[in-house]
Amino acid sequence: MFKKKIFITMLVMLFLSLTVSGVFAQETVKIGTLMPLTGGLASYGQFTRNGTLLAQKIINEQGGLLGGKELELVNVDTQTNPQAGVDGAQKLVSVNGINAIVGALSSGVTIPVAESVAVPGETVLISPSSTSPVLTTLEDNGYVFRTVPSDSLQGVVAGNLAADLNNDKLAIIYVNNDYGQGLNDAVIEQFEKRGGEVTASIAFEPNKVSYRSELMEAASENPDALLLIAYTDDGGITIIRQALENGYFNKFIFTDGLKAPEITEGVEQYLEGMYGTAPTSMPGGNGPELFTELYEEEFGEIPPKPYIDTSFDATFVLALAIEKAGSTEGPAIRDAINEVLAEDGMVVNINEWNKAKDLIAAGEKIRYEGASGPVIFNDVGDSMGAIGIWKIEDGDIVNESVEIQ
Amino acid sequence: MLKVESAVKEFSGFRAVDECSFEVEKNTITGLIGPNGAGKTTMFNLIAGSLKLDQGEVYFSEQKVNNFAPHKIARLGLARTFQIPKTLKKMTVLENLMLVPSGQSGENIWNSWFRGSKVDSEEKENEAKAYQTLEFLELEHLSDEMAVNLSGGQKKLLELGRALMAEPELILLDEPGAGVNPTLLNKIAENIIKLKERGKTILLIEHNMDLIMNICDRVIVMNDGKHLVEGTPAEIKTNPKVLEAYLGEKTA
Amino acid sequence: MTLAGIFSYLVFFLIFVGIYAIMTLALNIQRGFAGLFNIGIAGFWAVGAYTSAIMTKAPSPDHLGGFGMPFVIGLLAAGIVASILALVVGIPTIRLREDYLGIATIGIAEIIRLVIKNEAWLSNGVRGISAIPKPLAGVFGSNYNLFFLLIVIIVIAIFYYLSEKGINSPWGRVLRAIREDEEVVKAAGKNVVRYRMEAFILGAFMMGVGGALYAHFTSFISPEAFRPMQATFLVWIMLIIGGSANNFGSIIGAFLTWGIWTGTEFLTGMLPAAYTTQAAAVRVILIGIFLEVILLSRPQGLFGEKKYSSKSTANSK
Repeated sequence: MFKKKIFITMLVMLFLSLTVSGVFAQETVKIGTLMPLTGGLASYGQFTRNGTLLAQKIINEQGGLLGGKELELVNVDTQTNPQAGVDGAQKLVSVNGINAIVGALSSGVTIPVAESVAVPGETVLISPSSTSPVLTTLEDNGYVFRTVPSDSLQGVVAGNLAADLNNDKLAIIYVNNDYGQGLNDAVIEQFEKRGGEVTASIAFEPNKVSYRSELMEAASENPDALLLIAYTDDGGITIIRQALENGYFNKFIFTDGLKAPEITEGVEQYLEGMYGTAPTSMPGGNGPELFTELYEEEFGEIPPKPYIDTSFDATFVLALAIEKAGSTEGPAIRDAINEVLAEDGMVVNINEWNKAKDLIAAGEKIRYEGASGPVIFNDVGDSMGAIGIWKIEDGDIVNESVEIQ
Repeated sequence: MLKVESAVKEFSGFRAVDECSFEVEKNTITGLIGPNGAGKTTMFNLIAGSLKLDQGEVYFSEQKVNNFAPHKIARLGLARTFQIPKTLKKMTVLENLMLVPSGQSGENIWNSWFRGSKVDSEEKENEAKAYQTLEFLELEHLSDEMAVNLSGGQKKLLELGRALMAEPELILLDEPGAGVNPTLLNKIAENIIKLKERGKTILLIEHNMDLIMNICDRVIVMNDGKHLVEGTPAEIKTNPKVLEAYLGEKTA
Repeated sequence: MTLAGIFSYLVFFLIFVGIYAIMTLALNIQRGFAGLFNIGIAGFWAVGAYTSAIMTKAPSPDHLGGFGMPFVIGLLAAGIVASILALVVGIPTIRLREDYLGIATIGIAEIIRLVIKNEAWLSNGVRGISAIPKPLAGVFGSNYNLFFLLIVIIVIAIFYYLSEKGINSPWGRVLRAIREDEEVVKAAGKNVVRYRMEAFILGAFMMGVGGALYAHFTSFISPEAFRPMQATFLVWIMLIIGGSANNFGSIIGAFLTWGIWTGTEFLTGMLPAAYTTQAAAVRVILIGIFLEVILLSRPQGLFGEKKYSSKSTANSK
């Protein structure tokens, strides 16, 4: 019977795929990565994944961890979707026996992973990019960290930037998701604190063909500038084009999702001199420069996309904690993170894994000068944040200055 | 039993039924004849509620049933068959029949779930009744056959069987003899007469004049959507208007 | 990789399969038995998930409620609210041709998603609802998922039983007859609209309960979870793979489809790390190939349509 055959074949394939992956496993230390390689954030996941691979390379080149074992990274594709992400995370924890995970990118995946897999599975989860304020207040038994600051920090800087650029009236268009909402709220609060007036705050749905009605509404009270909270691939570029084409706005302020060279293509002269914000490295140390250098050695030119450096840092911090804990058990790693990191510890750069191991062996605390700047977690596992201000010059994106919050 | 008053039905300007009126007496067999396109099947659909009247009235058992939904008219005791037999193809002959009786408590899903014994005993009665009907039609050997596998004539009988299962007062039969071999036709004719003996009222559309002449008490002739003449079979046979309508010639 | 680890993933995997199986059983009642074209499953899923979350959570300033009700009440409420939604959608559309119902259900699912996104007082908007309680959390320790799987299996068993019993009853006979020929059923005095509506509501109830189980299992829901791809079309694929109008096929379809969806990850995971990005794309292609193979070799689904008959008929010979 044909159907029986197929059925059996499929079962066998499933089973094989389960077991084969086990046969090749050697004595390694595993860290999981939950990156979206398909779905809405696929264009980010590809590069954040590179960030984690770079950390793995440095660590393994310098003798691995836990007494010479290799670091192995196991990635599962979240498909930018909570159902698949949660399933993937559980796979990492149960099948691969992993208790330390870097990911996920979007908060809509990170939070369910934290609640249904990481926390009950006693697994440390460090997100390199989930900026939702919800993560701050999550009841996570201390298992959930992030190497980016909460959205509210960028909002404060963006609000200040808008005021500093001599705008009295500001219109905001934001992507209707967790990220957009959080930023929008923070910008309004800060801009009004600085005496400005927000004339419109409009949420937009991603991937529409036309945003003219949103733009018309935003421009209705003659604001000085448009603060646009969007991603490049969800409609942000369309909004910029249509705003310019129809003359709704000629002055823009952008946020991190638009810190990408695509936004200026073909409209360089109109966007020349515009400013934007993006979470960035804490100043001090030369982590970011070093990271760029190492990244370009390994993968070629570093794309101007966010969260590559924070993904590197999340991986490195987990390795530090595993080394400190001397174990790959979740609770031990969780406790070790705050034991090993200290603002006033001994400086370790991103290419100094050997030095880090020695310091840990000597019982010293470490000030990790990470790829995104020094990584220090507050008591709820949020990273202290630095927000960079960037500018468009000659059609390119140039970093201007950094604000620390 | 059934009264139609000045019924009108238009299809985009064309009057398929045009001011047509007639009555059917209780416990009779009435034939509805007329040339093709006279509006007979349309009239059936108006009576059974499958089509909505544009004008006029339909009374069934003294009750005005204009534009009732088909299932409501059916519940008042009117059953019908279709010109081209409609069967529930992928269901058994028995199921085709057991579907029909109204007021089955198992038709309420709640009862099906939680009042199994009551539903089961009703189903047994229903099944027995379906077998009786099959016996009456001499189809009992086909009870577990899928309806799709029946011959054309057997499908006609099955239609009749479904009409019987409803225990109707009035049965509308649309060309019960069409495409049926002479042996089966006799059987169908016998069955129709037996139904009358049981007190049913029958209105049938038929082109087979022998059948009409043999079994009908009265015959109504329709032409161009209108009621043309009406009378006993013998009267109709000799009526020049009828001949004219069928031959389509203007002799006057 | 330990045996215990594989077992614990298997449990987790089966919970997801189970939730999808509930959705597929529900769709089978609507589509397989009653021929109703519901392509807004995501909407009923979301309504069930949010209803139960709001009913069972501790009071929160972020959204409506919560009302701190027990888990079982949450599940029932989820089913009831989803049923009411089905009634409201069904009243104007269910008597129309089936494609209109399809359009209406797409529309309603999108409206629901937008309401959830934008009506923050109700649903905390795009930030979602977190900390949805798990029933008897803490009692079972590290075996908790096994307990949750048991709950899911019980729900499936109940729905499977009710669905089988329903379709084999006179009620199911009318539904099957409607799918064969509506006119005949009307001529037999049955209210066709009523039966369709009942099947639609029954399916919606099950979808609501499935949504609630999803919410309690992941403890967090946001509009992101109710995208058409994972919440509607995947369920359709499961139904088609398993075989429409076959309850058992629906469950197997859910198992196989979710197995392929996630199992391909293991296959592509064996490729070297440098090919991760390509592997993800290969995985999507593999999923397509698997499904294609099944559909080409078994166009009617793995199990095809089951022969259902009302009970006493089956016993009579």
